Amino acid sequence: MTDAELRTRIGLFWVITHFAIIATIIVCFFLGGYEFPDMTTLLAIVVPMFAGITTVVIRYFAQHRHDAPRGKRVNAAYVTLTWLLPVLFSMTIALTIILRALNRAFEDFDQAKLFLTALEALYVTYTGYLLAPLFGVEPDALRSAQETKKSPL
Amino acid sequence: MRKLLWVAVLGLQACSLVSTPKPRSTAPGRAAAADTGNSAEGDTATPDRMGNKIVFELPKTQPELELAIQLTQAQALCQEVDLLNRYVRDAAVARGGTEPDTTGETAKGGTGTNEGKNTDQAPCHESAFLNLLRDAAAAAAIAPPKTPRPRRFAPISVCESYATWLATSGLQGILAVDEVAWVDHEWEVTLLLSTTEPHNEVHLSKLWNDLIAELGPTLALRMIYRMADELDVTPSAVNLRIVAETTNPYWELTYRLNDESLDRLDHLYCTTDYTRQYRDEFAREYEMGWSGGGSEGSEVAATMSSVVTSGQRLLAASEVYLRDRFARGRVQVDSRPNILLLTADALRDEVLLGAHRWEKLQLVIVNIEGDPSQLVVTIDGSYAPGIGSTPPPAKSYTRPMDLEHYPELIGYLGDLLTTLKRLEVDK
Repeated sequence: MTDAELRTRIGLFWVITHFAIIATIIVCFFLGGYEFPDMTTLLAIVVPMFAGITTVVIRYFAQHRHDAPRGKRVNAAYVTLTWLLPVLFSMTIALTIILRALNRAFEDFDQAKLFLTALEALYVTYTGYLLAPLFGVEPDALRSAQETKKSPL
Repeated sequence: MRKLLWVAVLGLQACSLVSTPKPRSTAPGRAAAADTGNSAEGDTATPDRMGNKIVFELPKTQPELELAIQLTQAQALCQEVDLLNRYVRDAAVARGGTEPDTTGETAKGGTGTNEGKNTDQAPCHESAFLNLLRDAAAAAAIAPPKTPRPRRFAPISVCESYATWLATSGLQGILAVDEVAWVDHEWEVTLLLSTTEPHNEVHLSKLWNDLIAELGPTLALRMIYRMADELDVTPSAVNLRIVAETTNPYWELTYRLNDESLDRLDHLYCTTDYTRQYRDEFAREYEMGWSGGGSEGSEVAATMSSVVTSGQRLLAASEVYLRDRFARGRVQVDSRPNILLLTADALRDEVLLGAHRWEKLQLVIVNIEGDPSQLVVTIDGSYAPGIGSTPPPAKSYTRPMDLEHYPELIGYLGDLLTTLKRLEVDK
């Protein structure tokens, strides 16, 4: 697999996952899994997690919309890690949201909230290091984008 | 989290001296103020019953002032005597023979409008009913008398000024000043909440909440501060009591100002004066030509007797009923001699119908010691969201019902009281 193919696939996966998780939160709210304040809190936590990388991905695709790069081959370890961490990350977030709405995990909403926050710290750093070279940015650029979104002050 | 306590009194006794809200009456001190001339109308001429003009004058000397004060106090004393007389009269009504008007009505089997219409009905109804009243009165006699709290009333000018302020605050025709009294070292302002529409306690409590929504959440605070200004005391010394007298149950609300917040205490009373209730029902059925035979009347009397004499039995019956009612959820019961503590969670659509929330209810039913005929029921409700059939853990019930679902909770409590008080009757 070349880095161009990997970039296209992982980029699309990330953006689609981002909006799918937002949709999941909203659907859970309408089904009665969350109260309105809980839903807004969840969105405020989850959206910035993805937003840093999503912004970079969308910007890259927009800037290179006419390109048809062939790319260079990347090794299996890199491909595996590049897929594994984002998939695990997004699955954990989605499961947290759904299981909490079904009352099958966590004692209360605060626990779920803290869990998601800890999850972000765990995954985003590694995901940033893996995805940054694909989209031609520094890893710090991804993290700073998220930090900027998290703390508007 | 602000936690409200919902209190309901389930009165079972015929003549129990439950602190019922006073009927709308002339504000205390009004007559005395008129007598002494210490009135807002001070120097105006007012015609008396004979049409003569009476000129009121403010007291100008110290002896006159002292006399006016003495007269005011005497008026307050008279009102206390009137109140006691009313209790005595009620007790007489319950005994079924000493109060001429009421007893006359019931003995004739009518409410007064159809007197004598059914005098040919079977006498067994009358005797059964008189037995019923006698049993109730005997049970009432067991209960220790409650001493009225000493109170001193505010000047009539304060009440009038406050009423004027209420009228200008958009509360005209809704709230009326009943009394402003100094009770237990603080001023208690009692306002009567009423509406011209047909109402019950749920409608009136909703009306009050709508008023708060319309006139601002600080409405009660403003009312307290205004009265504190009128009385020239600190606001923390003023309690606001809003009474909505309805048929049964009725609702009452008390606001107290603490250092940090304004506490709100909702009471939902179910003043089941069984004697009066059965008397009215009996009279109505009698009047309508009901002919169930003497056995029916006797059955009512027997049931009445057991209800009146045993609050404990009703407590036990309540436990059985509530366990059954909450069977689909998780129920924890702590039953003690005079107290029943019941926590039920994992309930759906119990109070918040159609909301599909998981609900938790905490009920405390207390049989008041020394007054076996009264039960006090308190309810505290909370809820948690959730999809599917798995109930949330106990810690998840973090949202109190009394904030956004006040009408539902108070309506539920009213229904529950009605059901509980009929438990033994239905047995």
